Amino acid sequence: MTWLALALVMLWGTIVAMDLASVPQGLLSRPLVAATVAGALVGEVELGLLVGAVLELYALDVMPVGASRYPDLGAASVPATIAATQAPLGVEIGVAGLIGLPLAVAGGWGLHMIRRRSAVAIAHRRARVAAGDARAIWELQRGGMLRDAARGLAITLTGLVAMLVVQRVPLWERADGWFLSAAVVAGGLAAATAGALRRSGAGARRRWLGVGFATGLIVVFWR
Amino acid sequence: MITPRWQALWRLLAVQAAWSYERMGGIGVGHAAAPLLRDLYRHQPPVERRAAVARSAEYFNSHPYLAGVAVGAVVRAEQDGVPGAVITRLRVALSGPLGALGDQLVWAGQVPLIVGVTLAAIPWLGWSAVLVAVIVYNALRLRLTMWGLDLGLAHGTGVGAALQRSALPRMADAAQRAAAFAIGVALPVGGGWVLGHLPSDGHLAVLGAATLGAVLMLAPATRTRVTGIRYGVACLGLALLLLGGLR
Amino acid sequence: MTFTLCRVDDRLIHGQVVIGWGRPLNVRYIVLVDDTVAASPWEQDLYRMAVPNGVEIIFATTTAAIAALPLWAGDRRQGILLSGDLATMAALRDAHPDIVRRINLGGLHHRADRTERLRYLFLAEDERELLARLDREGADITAQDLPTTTPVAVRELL
Repeated sequence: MTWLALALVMLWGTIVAMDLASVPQGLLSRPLVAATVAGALVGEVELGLLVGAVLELYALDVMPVGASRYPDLGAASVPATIAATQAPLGVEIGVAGLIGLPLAVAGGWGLHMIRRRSAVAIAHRRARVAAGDARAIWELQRGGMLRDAARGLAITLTGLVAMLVVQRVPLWERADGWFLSAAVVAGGLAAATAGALRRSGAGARRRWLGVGFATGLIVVFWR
Repeated sequence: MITPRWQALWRLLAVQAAWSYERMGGIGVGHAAAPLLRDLYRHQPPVERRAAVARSAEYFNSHPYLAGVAVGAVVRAEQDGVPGAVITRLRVALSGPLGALGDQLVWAGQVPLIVGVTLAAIPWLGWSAVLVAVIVYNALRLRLTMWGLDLGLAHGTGVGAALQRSALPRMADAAQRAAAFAIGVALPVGGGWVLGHLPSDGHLAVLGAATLGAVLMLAPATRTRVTGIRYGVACLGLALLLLGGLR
Repeated sequence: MTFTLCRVDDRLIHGQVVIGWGRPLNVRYIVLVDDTVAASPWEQDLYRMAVPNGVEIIFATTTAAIAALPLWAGDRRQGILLSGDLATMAALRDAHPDIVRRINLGGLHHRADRTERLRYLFLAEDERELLARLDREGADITAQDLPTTTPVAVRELL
């Protein structure tokens, strides 16, 4: 990886992390998008797409409703994709999961910490905000965005360092290293299925889910 | 020259930047409302503008894409001379419903719909499906944000009735059905495409493990403990053990 | 029959309620007990709009709810009993302990006199005392924002 590519990956990881809950909240933080672009940045767009699709299956189970706490799979999928491009053939998805899944949990925790920190920042400016000082409100917005950017950078860096560590483990040189990839795919399929059933509830939506599934099966066999 | 409305729209893209558990999205809403309030109060003494800005930055929580409805409604209510206490109640009353509507329309509708279609299209379109998804999604999103702000500005305290008359509740319903269908298609098509990257002797075991995981994630006794990521990590751990054991 | 969920949440109807709980529990009706909302048609318009198609919403004052609770609880559909504050839910429980057996604390947010117990649960001193009393009287009270998160027993919060 060139220095330029590394810098671009860091920048992209930061943008993706900020997209989740700060700015611009425009689908960039979906693993499918985040990983595909990360792959493209290092000339491996197809592998990025594959990693993105697998991690997206996990994200389909996550609903950011209300003020609940949720993992940040988008930001985690950026270094996960880079790690996948460095992995031997057949183990790419496994390595991506090994880096990406724990990192997603850490990223969600980071978001939680930032929201706590924002509360402290607001408390410091309580009087100014109560007096209608637009400058104080802007300072709070800017502070929130900067902290989130730092979170994105930290997630990306942590993932890349983890990649260097993981590369030293000799397990995936073996012929059955694909076990790891299979494990990550199995978890993803489970999450996407459970998420779809949970979200659809009962009634009309459940029927539409069933009709879609049947259509999908026909497409798969017809192909 | 950038109009206050465009400034507000631009700021609405970052409406959750200073989100906190106490005030939730209030600061972001205050930030987005500030240019409109500055314009509204340009001929009045600053003390009135400041009071309005302070009110606009109090507790607020809704879906980020629909926060503009509240921004618009609050600014219009200030313009109409509605008492401050009523404006504060309007904000609070808008929070939950706008959140519920937005969660249904976007998080449970638009997002899984577009992601599902994209996953299902990958075997044919490859990465360009992702590019199309991002463009379509953001076009819809900007349109919704703009529409919401304008609706609020047009109706003020009557925004609830205006929302109810609008197509949004029906669209939320339709988007969720379409999303259910799209995810239904994506599971075998997109899932199958992913599975196709694994050796075929492993397919049955992967599907078995996936079924077990889905059952654990849905069963009342285990659903609070088994999340997708935890199950995935557990599967990875098992695979690592197997690999170590087979050495 | 009784309600599938008796929830205290100051945001009343929002995403966690209609999607987070409503979907997996297949909820078909919501009884919203709040004296202010019961007297405010424009707020009712807002909440009605926020409820998905196929879900009925009933607005009631505390007094009306106490009278009608057995009737609503007898509904064969899955339903949520929702109040915006603890005092209301406690009044309902005091009147009908057989119907309001389990109470879900879903969200009580920051206020000057409240201190944080969980990120979505801030309690004032009188609210803690109220919870302690309900707990002593045998109510099964847990804090849980979404069905997929781990419930926290009330005793850990007092």
